[in-house]
Amino acid sequence: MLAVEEVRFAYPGGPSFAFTLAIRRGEIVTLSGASGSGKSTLVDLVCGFLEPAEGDIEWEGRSILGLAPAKRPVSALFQVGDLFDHLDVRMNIALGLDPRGRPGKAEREQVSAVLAEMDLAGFERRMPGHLSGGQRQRVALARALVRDKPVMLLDEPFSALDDETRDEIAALVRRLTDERRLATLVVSHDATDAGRLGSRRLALAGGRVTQRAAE
Amino acid sequence: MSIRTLIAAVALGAALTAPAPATAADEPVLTIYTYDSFASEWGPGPVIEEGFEAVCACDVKFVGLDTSIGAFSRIRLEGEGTAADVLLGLDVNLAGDARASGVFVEHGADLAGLDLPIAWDDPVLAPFDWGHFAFVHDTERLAEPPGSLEALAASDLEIVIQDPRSSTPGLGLVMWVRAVYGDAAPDYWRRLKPRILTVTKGWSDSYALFLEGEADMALSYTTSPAYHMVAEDRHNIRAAAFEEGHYLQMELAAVTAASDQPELARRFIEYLIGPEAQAAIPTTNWMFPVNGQVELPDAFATLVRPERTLAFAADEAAANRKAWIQEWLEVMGE
Amino acid sequence: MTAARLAPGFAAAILAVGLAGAAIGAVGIWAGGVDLSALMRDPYVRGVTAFTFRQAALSTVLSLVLGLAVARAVHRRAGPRGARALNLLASLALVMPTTVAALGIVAVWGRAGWVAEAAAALGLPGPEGGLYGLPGVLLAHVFFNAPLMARIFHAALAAIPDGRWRLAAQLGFAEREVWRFVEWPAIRRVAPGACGLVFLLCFTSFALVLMLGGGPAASTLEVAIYEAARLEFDLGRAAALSILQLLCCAAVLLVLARFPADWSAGRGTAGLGARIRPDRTARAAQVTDALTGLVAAGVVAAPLAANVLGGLRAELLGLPSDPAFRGALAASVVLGLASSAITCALAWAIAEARRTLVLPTRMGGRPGLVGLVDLASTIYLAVPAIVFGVGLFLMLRGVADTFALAPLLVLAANVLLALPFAVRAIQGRLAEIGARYDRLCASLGVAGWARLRLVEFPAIRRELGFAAALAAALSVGDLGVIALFGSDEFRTLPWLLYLKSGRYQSGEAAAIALVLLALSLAFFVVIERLVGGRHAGR
Repeated sequence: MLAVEEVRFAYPGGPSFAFTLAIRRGEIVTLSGASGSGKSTLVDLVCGFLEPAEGDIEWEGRSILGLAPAKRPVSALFQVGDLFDHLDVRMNIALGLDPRGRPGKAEREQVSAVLAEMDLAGFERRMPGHLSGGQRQRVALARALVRDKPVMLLDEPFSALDDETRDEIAALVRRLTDERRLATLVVSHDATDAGRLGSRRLALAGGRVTQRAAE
Repeated sequence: MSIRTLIAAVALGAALTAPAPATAADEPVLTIYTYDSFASEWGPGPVIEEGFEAVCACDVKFVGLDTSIGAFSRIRLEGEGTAADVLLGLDVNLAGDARASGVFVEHGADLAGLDLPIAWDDPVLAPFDWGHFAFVHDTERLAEPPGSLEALAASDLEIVIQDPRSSTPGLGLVMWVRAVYGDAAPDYWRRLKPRILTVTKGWSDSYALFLEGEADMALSYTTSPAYHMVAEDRHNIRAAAFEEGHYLQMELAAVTAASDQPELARRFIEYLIGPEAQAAIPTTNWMFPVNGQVELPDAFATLVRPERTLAFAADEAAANRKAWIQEWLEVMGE
Repeated sequence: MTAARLAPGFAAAILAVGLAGAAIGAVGIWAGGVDLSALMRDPYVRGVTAFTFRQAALSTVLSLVLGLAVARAVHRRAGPRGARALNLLASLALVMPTTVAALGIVAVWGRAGWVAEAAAALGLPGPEGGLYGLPGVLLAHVFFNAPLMARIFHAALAAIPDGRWRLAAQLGFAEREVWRFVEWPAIRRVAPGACGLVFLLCFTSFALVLMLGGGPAASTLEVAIYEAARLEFDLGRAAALSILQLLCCAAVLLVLARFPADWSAGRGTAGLGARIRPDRTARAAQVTDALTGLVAAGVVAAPLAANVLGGLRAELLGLPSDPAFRGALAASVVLGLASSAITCALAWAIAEARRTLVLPTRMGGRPGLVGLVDLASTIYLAVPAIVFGVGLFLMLRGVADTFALAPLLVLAANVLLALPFAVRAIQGRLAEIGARYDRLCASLGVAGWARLRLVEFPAIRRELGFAAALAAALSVGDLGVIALFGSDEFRTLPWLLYLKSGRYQSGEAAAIALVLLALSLAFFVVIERLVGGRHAGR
């Protein structure tokens, strides 16, 4: 279980935020709120780009604060820069296996396998610029999968997609979360995404989200 | 690229430009600082080097710096540790500074027999060539040039000169005008000013403007036409003879006080003013030799030989240089 | 992680600033002290300083105006090929030896120049000697700097997102609104940096100002420095004047730093925006662009052409058999390549440090230190070469053989001189890459060498290619420092040019000038492609 406990964070001279929430394995939580409500701040805190002033973030009962972003049990799909545009699909995914960027035969086979699983067989040498929005998301998901981290964060994963593709990606996220027992957090400005994902929905307002224990 | 390969690459570049001459280890090396074109392959340097090495049992090494003033600066900066045994090329206008700097010792050569336009018996600075400053023109564009400084100012010509702060001929003209007009020099500058198209940093910029046809006359040397006659067979570049006389340009050699082989250096000075080295001067340095026995190329016979040579004593030039440049600046900057 | 990104750049910055400071310090110490206050009271120095400021400011403004007009005209009409031509032109103008450029300007605008001939043929009054004076100085500085400005501004325009042009087209913006709402916001970010650079280049100009300025009324501080260091051998005064010059330049840079700015605008999609901009077909814009083309042709293209023609007429054929020329060519090529490699490495380090410093504080940024890094990448433009050379000489004299070091010192000087341009060429794109991929890299653990290889290099190689080519072209040989270091064993092409033109051989000098231009051009074509890859120069 991912637990965000009474985490407080304030930008110098800017707004302050307070977050408390928990996500079990196999569960999707959708966090919605207007822009500026602190959604991206929460993503940055969980990923390790920001350190909270107070509180704790735990995975399976152990604090992950202080771990470098790459060492955390977290894979993230970012709203901006989710793929390296100048690297082909294979390298983009292989970097999830080997951050030094020298994938061997085994890694390449693993990439091909996960591409097939994502319905992208044969896309190894494509450049991201030649992919559709949905294909991009699936490549990014494929990378998250090969990293084999139990927590998945998706920052506005549907914003650039048409309705049909949204449903398709939402179904994929749902399926992966179930099959791999992921704890998935989706951040979205669109309240209808929660329904699409069949997930538990939390709202951010006034810089705080607090999930009651009863829910 | 690693630093090591880089250094190797640069060293390679240096090696390509200058194959180091093989030197017998026991031969003393005579190091001569001068301006680069004197030392260059088309200057007098190589001929003199070969000639002196044939008689001196030594290795002559020319170091060419940007100007003779640059070479002089470097010797002063190096102080006791200087590699230079000899400095070649300082102008009379800087002779006072050279003497006062204390970095040179007596050359010991006998100057009495030299063929010079003025009397010169300085024990520290030995002249090795000379010429006069003059305004040059192209006879195809200007058939009848003015015959005096006065006529030049009264003409409607456009001339280019050099800045005395950065150029030897530029400084020479300031001295020239002072020698002719004395304290009335500022008045003359005021009259000449409308004729001056522009002032350049160095001689080459002025001369290029003149050759391009941009200016009618340029401040240069009486010997400039000889280059065009000998090297290019062009006879339309001439120097104008001015009846007030012409200011002297004389190049000087000196032995450094820090030299570890002063005797060899002195022998070099003797050689430099001797007939063999002097014979190379006219067509490599485009100046008059100081040795009267040297047979001059035909072209030199056609050059302007001023009836009056103007020159200040070295000390007087040194003492007043700054004030006279200032005087020039004030008029020209008005 | 932040420290690793900052350390190399900081080391480079401190080295550059330290070297300049130490050199001037060494000169001051040798002279036994520096009296700045006496200098300030000297009316000569005050007059020269005032003129230097005035001509530099005017030159900057004029370069800005023409550069902006050219950038807009090229963006409106010329397409990617025009942009490439603009890049080349800017680079060629930058690398021309100043006195060669001056002769080109004279060949067009002088008393006996093309304009005068054309006027005489048409029975019109010619320019006469009107070139010499402030007009000549401004003309020359615009020749050098307007193409540079145009290049920077064009890059900024090309980087405007297509969406904004679509919007402008849809809203039916006229030229004024296009300028106000679309172009100005992009230009505003790059203008202060560009102005600072050009101001410095003009402030320290010397031979050009004297020659085309018509006389000592047009003297810059550099003349006074030269006079003190050379003719009078008054090194205390030379050091003091150098400090004064540095202070003036620093003051201007500080004022410009108050404007929010980023030198390079990053990379544009280059295409759609230019094609759909709504003011393309406006009559006023067509007239402006035609006029701009005419002015640019007269001020920049014609003098360049005059030099090329002059070189072609000269004794080009004799050059290859001249060993002095071959040696100088080899030296210049080696120097250019070595300098290019080192400059790029240092520029990358500095740009990397800079982009980290400008991040928000919580991400490891330290905005207060940006100034140091910027100073490092500009200071050498304001350090007089002659004093720098004397200072280096004094520092090295006791510890090493200065003759043997000459090539390395020339290399160091060239690197420092090319650094401001190289840093600025890559820093915008590097910052853009950081903003885009920092999080992804951190979350994947892509760091260190792998990050340079996989992320930064492929992403900035186009810009790096330009920086490398420019550094190589700028470094075929700077004249400044070589003066004191015994040059007859290490002659570069510009040095040979100087030498030949000082010995009546102006024909050969013109030919060498042409070779210099061709070499710079070759560096551009080859290095930019090698480093920059397939899409280099777009």
